[in-house]
Order: sequence, then structure tokens, then C-alpha cells
Amino acid sequence: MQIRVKCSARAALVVGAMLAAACSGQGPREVVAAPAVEYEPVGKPVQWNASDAQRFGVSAKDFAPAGASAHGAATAPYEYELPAGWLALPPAQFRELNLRVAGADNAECYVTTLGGGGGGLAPNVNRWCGQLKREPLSQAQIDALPTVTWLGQPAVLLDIEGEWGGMSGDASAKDWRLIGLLQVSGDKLRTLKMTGPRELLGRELENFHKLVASFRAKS
Amino acid sequence: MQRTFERVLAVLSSLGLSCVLLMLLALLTWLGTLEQQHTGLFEVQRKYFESLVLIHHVGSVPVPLPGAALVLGLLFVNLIVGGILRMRRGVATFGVLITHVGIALLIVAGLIKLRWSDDGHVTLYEGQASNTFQSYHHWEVALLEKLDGARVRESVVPQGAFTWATGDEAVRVSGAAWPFTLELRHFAANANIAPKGPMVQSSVPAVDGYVMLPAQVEAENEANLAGLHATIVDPDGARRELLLWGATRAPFTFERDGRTFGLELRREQFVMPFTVRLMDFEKEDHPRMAMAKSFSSDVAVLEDGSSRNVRIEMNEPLRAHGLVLYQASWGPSNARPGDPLFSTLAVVRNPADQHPLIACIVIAVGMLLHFGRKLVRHIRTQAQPA
Repeated sequence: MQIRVKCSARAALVVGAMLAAACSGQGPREVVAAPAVEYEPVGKPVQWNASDAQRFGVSAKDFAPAGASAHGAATAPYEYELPAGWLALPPAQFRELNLRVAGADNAECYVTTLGGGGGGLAPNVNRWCGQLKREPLSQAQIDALPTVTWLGQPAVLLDIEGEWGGMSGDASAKDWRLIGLLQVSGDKLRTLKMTGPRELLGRELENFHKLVASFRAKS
Repeated sequence: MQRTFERVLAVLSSLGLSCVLLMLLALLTWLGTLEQQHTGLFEVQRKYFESLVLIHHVGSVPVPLPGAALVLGLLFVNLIVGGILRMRRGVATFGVLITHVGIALLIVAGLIKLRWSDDGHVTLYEGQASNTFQSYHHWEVALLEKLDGARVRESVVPQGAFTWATGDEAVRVSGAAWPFTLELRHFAANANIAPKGPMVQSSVPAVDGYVMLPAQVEAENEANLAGLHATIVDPDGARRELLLWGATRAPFTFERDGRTFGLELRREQFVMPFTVRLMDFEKEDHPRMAMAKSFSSDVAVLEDGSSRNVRIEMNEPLRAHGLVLYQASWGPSNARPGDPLFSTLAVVRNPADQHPLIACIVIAVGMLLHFGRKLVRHIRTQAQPA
């Protein structure tokens, strides 16, 4: 009986250790790659010496589409109606929807979705204020901002004018206007941001609201 | 010891065990079906049907269950021991024995498919050709070495080797005749790559002005783009860090000892022993609808300097060298009239490709013999005068 108990305990320890190892999710820390094979790829020649911008399809200057935009485009979950006279540009980094307002080169409207909360509502509102060289808003002022319904959920509307300092503060244009929506949805921050000359955006304000109303989740 | 062995054998061969295992299979099928409401097919298949053990949550309560792989394994043992070896042999049970052999063959076919098959797709526009197909789901790190002309020497590290390395702890990879080693860490099943900026924060160290942003895993696994942090470590200790991402268009190129290497993270790729060139893709829509009624691909199969034309269409796959190429789909889905279309051919390499068909024939023969004999006996009994 004693021997059987010892055997059972030993067996239990072994099985337990195996189960623990299986459940730990760890793997071997040293591995050897599979034996090499030689062949000539047909149809997809290898592009040697590609730069990082070419590899990722996006440059540090944020102008190349594809790569991440292909990923974003594949997962952009909504459809919309393009306002008359506006142009739809290819998606770009941080711009899963990228529009040119009324065909003007210096007026744009785009959708960005940031994960992990995107830093929060207030910091992004004040980041936009900073881009137009406006003083940051207090929490009470942010709480008092109007809301509109966008994609079925409330979104904060920010409508400000000022001198455009650009996203990095290295551009300059007076009499600029920014009209944007900021929406916290789960762990994502989604924004729809339109910037451009004040007069142009004044004329396109109605189209902006029509665009917002036309957004719908993809079926 | 002998008694213990006989007791174990009795349990393994019992009809009661068969019933329990079959009920567990039904339960797993039901739970796996329900799970697909919010989890993709690939993940459900992996969790419920390819695992030995799983944890199913009923609300917040975790319920451990045996996976279908374990259940089918036990069912196979039960079938062999109880349904074949220990079964009473005679004319009356001959049909049942054959049926059980067929079922056992079916289970073996499933195991072969699970462990030793490869599947993926090759997607081509008209005029394009390829001699490789790629997995829908699995990733690999590929080290390419540039050879003469367009030839490459390729070593791969399968996803199973680094999928656990999601943090700082690295898996170290070496290869035959490699003048360096690789360290792989921070694997993310779904990720984006972005230029490093003031608003961009990531738990993965930035490299050369780029960061990898782990993203929420999509329910449809085909939409996920994996990411990985890699370090090339030279024998003298010099280190070169880089980011690998599933949507890159080209490998990261570097040189060592006069040799040119490329490193990339890509969908698992398989080389075919022939080349397929899409000559013509035809799609016919239902009348007055934008829904495809039928679509087919005319391909040229090129091997050993010769070429033959084959039409691949629904239920008419191409079979060659153990591979089966099916007409799976086409795109792009938002193509307008006149836009060029691509054809997606699903490719499967399954050593047990015909086994299910053979097993079903064996089962059918067994059942015909068994129930046919019963029918004859019944008719004879009925025909006898009272």
C-alpha cells in the first residue's frame, strides 16, 4: 500500500509539473531555425535594401499611404457620404479617412482613432487649442462644450479660431478655424477634425454637419 | 498489477465511456458554435477543437473541459479496444467491426490533417504567377540570404517558437552557418507601426524613429497583422535592433561577412513544386444582381520547362504533387465594372486528403452488411408460417 501511495504521489508530481509547464505559456528560450531551403521566388521578387519608409509604407514625415493605412482601411468600420466638392484622398498614417475640403489644398478633414484612450479627452482638446495658439481650456470649459451625435454616440464639438501653428508648430497661417469632434468609445479616442481658412470653413460648416450625420457603421 | 490493467482495459473499452465521450463532443460542438458570436472561427477552432484542455467561462465562472483533441483521442482508444479488439467476432458482428474500422480511419484522418497538413492561399491578378502559397493565420520569421540571380536561401522560425515572447524576455534563435544570432521579443498578435511622435507611446522600445503599437486582436484572425521586436547579435556582442511587422513590403536588409541577408515577419509561406500563372479569371453574376453566380480561373501550371492549362472552378480543383488548389474567392469586393480582379485559390497539402472518403465508404459497407443481414433475417422470419 505504501509503495502504491509513493508511486501515485510521484506520478501526480510529474503530471502536475507537465500541466504547469503546459499552462505557463512559456517556450524554449533557445531555438534553432529550420534547415535552409534554396529556391527562386516567382511573382514576388525580393526588394533588397529597402528603407524603413519603404518597408513600412510610412515615413517619419507622415506622408506615405499603404502599409499601416492598408491595415487601417481594412478595419475602418464605417461608411459616409462625401459632401459635394470634397475630395477623398488615400488614407494616411493616423488618417483612416482623409478628405480635402471643397477641393482646397489647405483645408482638410480626417478621422483618427487612437487606442489606449488616446491620452484622454482633455489633453487632446487642449492639443488642438495649442495648434491654433489658443489658451488651454479648463476642465469646466471642456465639460461645457456642446456635443453632437456621431456614429450613434455623443461626441464633443470643438469650434475655435486662431493662428494655425501646424501640428508641430512649424507652420503659420492667420484666420484659421478648427472644427472637430472628439469621441471616447471604450478604450479608443475617435476624432473628426476639419481645419482650414476661417471663411472657407464657415461656408462648409453645413457640409461638415451633413458629413457627420451620414456616418454609419459598416454592415 | 494485472487486476489494475484489466480494470483500466474494462473502462477504456466500455460502452459507458463511448457515451460520455460522444456527449462531450456534442457539448464542445454546441459551445464552440455559440462562442463564434464574439470570437472568430480560427480562435474557436484552436480553443475548442484542437486543444487537449480548455477553460470555458460560464459568466465569470471558469469551467475546465477536455478539448476535442483529447476526447477524440480517447474515443479512438475506446473504439480500438472496445469496438474492435475485444468485440465478439462472428457473422453477426462482422458489419459492425467494419463500421468501427471506418470510424477509426476517420479519426486518424483528422489527426493527420491537424498535425501534418498545410493550408493557405495564393492570390493573383491576371498575368501574375507564383510558386508559393501563404497561410491565412500563422506567422513566421524568415531569414533570406541573397544568392546568384533571383535565388535565395531561406531559413524560417515558426510562430510557435516566439509567440510566447510577448515581453522583454527573448527567445534566441540560431541557424546553421549563421554568422549571428537573433533575439525575438515583444510579439504582438496584432499591431500597427507608427512614426515616433510626442503623442505616440508604446511599451515596445522605439527603433529608428518608429514604434510598434500593439492593437486589440480582431475577431477575424485574417485581419490581424503581427509585430515583433528583433535584435541581430554579432559574435563580438554588437547589437542591431529592428522592428518586424506583418504588413511590410520588403525585408530588413543587412550584410555580414560579405553576405547579404534579409529579415522579415510574414505569413507562413510554403514553396510549391510548380508555378501557377493566372491567365484568365471569369466571373458571372446572377441576372440583375451584383452577386457572383460562378467564378473560375484559367491557369497555366509551369514545371520542368513544360506548361499545361487547367481550369479551376467550384468543385473542380487542381490536384498536383499532393497539393489541391481550389477556387476560393475573388476581389476586390468594391471593384467597379472594368476594374481588374484578383482570384484567390485556396491551397491545401493534406496527406490524408482522400482518407475521409475512403472511411465513409468503409463505414457505408459495414452498415450495409450489418443492417442488410438484419433485414434478410427479418424477411425470412416474417415469411415463415405462424
